[in-house]
Amino acid sequence: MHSLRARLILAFIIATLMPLGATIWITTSLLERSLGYATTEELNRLSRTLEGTVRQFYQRERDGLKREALDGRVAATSYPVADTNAWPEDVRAFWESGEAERSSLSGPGGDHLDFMRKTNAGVDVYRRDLGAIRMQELSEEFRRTRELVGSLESRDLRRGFTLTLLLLVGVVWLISLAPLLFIAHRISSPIRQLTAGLTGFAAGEWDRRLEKGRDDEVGRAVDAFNDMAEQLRRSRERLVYLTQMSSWQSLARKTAHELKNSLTPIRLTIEEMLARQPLADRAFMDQAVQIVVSEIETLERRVRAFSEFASEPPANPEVFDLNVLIAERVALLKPAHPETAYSFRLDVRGPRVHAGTDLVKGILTNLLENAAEAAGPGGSVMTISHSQGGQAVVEVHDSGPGLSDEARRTLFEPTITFKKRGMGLGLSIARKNALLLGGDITLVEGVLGGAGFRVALPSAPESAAASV
Amino acid sequence: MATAPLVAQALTIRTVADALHVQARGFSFIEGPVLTRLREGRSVRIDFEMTVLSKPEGPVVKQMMQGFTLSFDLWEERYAVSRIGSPPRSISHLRPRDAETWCLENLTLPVSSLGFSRDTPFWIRLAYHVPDIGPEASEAPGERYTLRGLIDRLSRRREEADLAKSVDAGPFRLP
Repeated sequence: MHSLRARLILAFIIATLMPLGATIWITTSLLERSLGYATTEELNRLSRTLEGTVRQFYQRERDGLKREALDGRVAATSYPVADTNAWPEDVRAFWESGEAERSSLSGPGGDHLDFMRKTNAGVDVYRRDLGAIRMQELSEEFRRTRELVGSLESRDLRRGFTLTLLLLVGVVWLISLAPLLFIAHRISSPIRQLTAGLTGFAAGEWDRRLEKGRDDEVGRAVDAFNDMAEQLRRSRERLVYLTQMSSWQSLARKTAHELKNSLTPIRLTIEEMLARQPLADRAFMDQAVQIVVSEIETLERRVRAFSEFASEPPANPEVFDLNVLIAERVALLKPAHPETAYSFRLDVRGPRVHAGTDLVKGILTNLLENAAEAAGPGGSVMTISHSQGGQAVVEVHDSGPGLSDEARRTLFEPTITFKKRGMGLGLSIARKNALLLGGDITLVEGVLGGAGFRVALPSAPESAAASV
Repeated sequence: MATAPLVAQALTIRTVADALHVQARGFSFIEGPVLTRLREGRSVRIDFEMTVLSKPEGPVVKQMMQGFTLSFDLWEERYAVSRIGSPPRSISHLRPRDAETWCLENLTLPVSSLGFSRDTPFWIRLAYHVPDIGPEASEAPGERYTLRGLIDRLSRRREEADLAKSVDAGPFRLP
């Protein structure tokens, strides 16, 4: 009974049973009152009285006719024995019976009374007109009345009406439970899903999302949950990334420090060794020292890169037009990659960014350099800008070979590379800086067939954007 | 169906030509609900069953069934009886005992069909039942599933729909 659905059903039952009970009580009370007006008893008594009265009338008429017949005061119709074939059916039946005399009704509806008496010559029949009183019709009326009374007396109408009422009300009530169960399920189902989603999310299922099936408060709660879950997932990823970056930065700082400590005396010692070398071996030593110093300089550049990676650059946020910055960065890139084609799909409204300009410049430079290198001579690079969800977005796409699955997986992890160009830290630094600005860099589907990166940056507030 | 046993050896038999007749003292059926119904002007059908058994409760040798319709003349206070079937017969202006006797008189079995010798003992079971002695159903077949039909069904009092009696007697031997 702790579930929402069970509570909804309980609420319905409580809310409907009380008025239902009151309705039944009122109805049965009215029924009780109306049945009090029933006339069965009166009908019963009246029919019995009439029966007795009519019987008395009949018997008085019958006895009167018999007396008059025996006294010879009424004429008889005689049926001689010699002519029995012509006798009426009732006369013949009387003749064949063992009775000496018989009274019976005749005429339409029994409005005549016959008195039959056997004689030596046959049967004498005396007849009396009963006027408009049709005895056989009265018999039929009495039978119908008694049937009606018997039918009413054989029934408990109070019980019948009450049971019918209870039965119908119960059936209707039970039928109404079916849509209630459906509605309760419809209401509670998304809430149960929401609860399950929250529970799963709390248990670490970061990718759990709910299906939106309706456009009401519950649907909006589902949307809010999905948005919240997505934001939490992203925040968590950023936090994890920044934590990893922090560890890597610490390691880079220590490594740079140790390398710098070692490289300086090595360089000084080599230069000293060259100064003290006799002139006869000078040419060889010059060449050897040059090689060693060149490698030391390479190592020093790496140490600087490590230092840069380990540093926490100042953000100094300001509002600027993202399209202007993109155009500037591409213009600077073109001389280094003259054989690469550059195209733009920029939001004409000029998305306004509120961030540290130097950091954004660094991010764009890194992405554009990588794209131009990946595209190569004859390749192309496209830059896109637009606003989305309160953020200014810039995308950089290239027509290069794209990224392998392994590269996609470790794209933003700092690595040490000894390739001629790049240190393997550029994307890590760029993403770290984007995160520090309140944005992010993500890999997207490339529109030119190669790789595609999306940089999301915080948009400038309306008031700030207007003042630019 | 309520079956009330009657007093043993309440039956006697007699033969008229090839017809086996049965007479029953105290075997009254114009009483109780039957009498009430008749006195209300309604007719009553009574179905009789005469069974010849070779043993008490034993195998049936011969059985015959016959139905009668009884009615009551309210004003003359006499009974009329009609035998159902072929050939139909009827009689009127009877007193109750005469009506009962007339019914039993018209209940016969051909002796030759029994295949008994004069020494063969046999038993007779006489039974009757009155169908539909309870209140008549007021609902039409089409009204069974209507509100009126439902109220009618739920308001009926429990009463015996049928009334029945039987009596066994024997052994008898053909005279």
